[in-house]
Amino acid sequence: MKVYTGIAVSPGVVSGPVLVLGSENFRIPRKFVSRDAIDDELHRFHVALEDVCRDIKSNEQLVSSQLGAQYGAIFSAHLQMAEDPRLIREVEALIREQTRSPEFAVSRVLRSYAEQLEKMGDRYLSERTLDIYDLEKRLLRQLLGESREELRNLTEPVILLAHDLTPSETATLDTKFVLGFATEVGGHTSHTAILAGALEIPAVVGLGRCLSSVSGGEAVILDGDHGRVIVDPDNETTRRVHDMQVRSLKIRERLGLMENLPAETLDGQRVTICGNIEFPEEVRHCIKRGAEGVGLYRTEFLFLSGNREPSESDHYEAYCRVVEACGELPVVIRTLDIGADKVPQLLDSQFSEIQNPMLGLRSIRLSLLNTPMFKRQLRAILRASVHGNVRVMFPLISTLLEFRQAKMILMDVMEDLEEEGIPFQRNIPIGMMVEVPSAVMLAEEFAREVDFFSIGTNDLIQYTLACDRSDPMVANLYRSGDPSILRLIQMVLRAAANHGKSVTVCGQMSSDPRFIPLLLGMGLRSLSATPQAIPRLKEVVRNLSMSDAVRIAQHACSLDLARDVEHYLQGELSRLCPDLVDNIGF
Amino acid sequence: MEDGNVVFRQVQVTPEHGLHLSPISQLVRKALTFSSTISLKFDGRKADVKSAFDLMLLAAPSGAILELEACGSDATTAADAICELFEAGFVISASEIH
Repeated sequence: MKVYTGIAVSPGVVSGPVLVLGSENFRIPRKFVSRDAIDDELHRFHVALEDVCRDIKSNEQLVSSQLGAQYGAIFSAHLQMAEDPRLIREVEALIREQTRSPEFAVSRVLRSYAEQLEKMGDRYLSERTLDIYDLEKRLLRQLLGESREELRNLTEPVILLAHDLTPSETATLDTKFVLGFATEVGGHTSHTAILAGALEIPAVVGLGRCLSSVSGGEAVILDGDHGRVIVDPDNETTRRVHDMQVRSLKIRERLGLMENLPAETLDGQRVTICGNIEFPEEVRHCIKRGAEGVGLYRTEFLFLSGNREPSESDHYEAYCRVVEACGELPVVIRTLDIGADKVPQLLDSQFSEIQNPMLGLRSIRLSLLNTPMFKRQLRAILRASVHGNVRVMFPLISTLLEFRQAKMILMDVMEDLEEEGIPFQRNIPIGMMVEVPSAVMLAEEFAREVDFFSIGTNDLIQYTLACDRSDPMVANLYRSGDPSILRLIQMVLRAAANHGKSVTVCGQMSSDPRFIPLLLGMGLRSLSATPQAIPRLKEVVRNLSMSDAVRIAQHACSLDLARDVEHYLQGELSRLCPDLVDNIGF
Repeated sequence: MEDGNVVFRQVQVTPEHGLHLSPISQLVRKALTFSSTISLKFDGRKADVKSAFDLMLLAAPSGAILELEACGSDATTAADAICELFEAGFVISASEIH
């Protein structure tokens, strides 16, 4: 039995045979081809090459139009490499004269270039080896396309283990057969992780190296509640996991009854619980669980899925579906938040050039630099605003100037729409995400200018404690219960109360039942969480009195260490809702 | 193309970091606009100017003198255009990025 620990990103425990998806280093299945097949194999090479060139060209166009020609030029250099006469000649020669497979030939030729460049010891040229490996990967992906095809030809339930899954691969997983998945890389807020939550299949990411010791077909237990993957579990573990599954099924059944009950404390304090969504389809998951609206509609998916930039009508159609499905319920649409760990494949190589993506060009910063793109999105949001209760929210605001600029662009768009006679909601509420400590420091100032705040705890924790949760060496610093985080949240709540503005907490913290008594006790009245978490949150609220909440908050805020805070909250939760705390370990 | 029109020139690598990706990319783009075969020789090695990999592996450092050879019907204009790039030091103007 081997246990690998990663980051739990989507809850649930499943067991089944493991299917291993090729790692970054593609395994080349065969080195030789038969002599009669040479023409077919040459043809296969050329088809793959054409596909790769077409991809590169569309990336180039997209990047040039979005970010400027100097970035697009990166791709034109890639294209030259892909179309390089020497490369084509040498690959063809290996296939024709040595009956090598195209996969082997491509890899051999490109790697020989990379090796020679590395040997030269010229820093500028040796950096180019990355581009060469990138080209190798692209070509192998095309040539070996069928190996990932197996994802589409599943006939029995499996648990997927991969180095990484792209967002589009994750989005298209056949959930009939894929019981859950685990990846070697990735963090809590990576797009793949968010998609797993949306698909409602258990998932663990950031396992570290493990693929090489799993050959496929072994029995595996994937524990999406605790972020564990157990390969070849012993009988005792299997039995305990089975018990746990039975128990969590029972809890789920009971929580299912929560949907029509209000989120109200024992002493009658109403709390608003909304859902976080990524795709329009998820509104149904929210409504089904009794969410009172969409508190965070992430709009990145439109950018991350396609091969082109979404048009105004792509935006508009998606927003209308959400807004209409919500009826009178509020929908908070967050403008584009890409960059850092969420980068469209189209812009991938672009962003990989950034030294420090978390502190670089991302989110609202990207929107403000790309006014045409930003305006397209804002137009669509405004147009959709007449169909329901829409609010607009800007992510990652770190200075007042940024907020004012974003708001000014929104006003410009309103003016345009007015001139064109297109209807929209003029007094649409405008809010911001509080994710950067600077925004908390200036919360009083911001509170005068915004209509509402939404605290994004994931980024706030990361920026406050200066740690990247996906880096296992420092991930232990990333604690929702850190006293500094509690204090920042208090500051925002106080500033908002002083100016009569509302605050919602979204992000992982608000989906964690342990934090609910604390947040309520601190004065929070509105939460937005992943749809699956909503029934659990409701149960906590319904078992809580405000006097308890205040007492819990006061005590938690007096503690010095994240560990103590979390331990204390865990204890309180186990008194309130013993079922929701599970102590089962392996 | 094979009309035996051959032109020889000498060029010097001016970019500070030698013939790295950006100059190579410009050379390939320019060379592909001609039908002539264009090559650069350095240190006993010969690179096809239409091949980015050839040029990379030529590993020509800053200051190196290269032998330019163009062969084909448009050899003279091709050689002139390539020389021009070297003489201008591969500075890209915004309009040239297209």
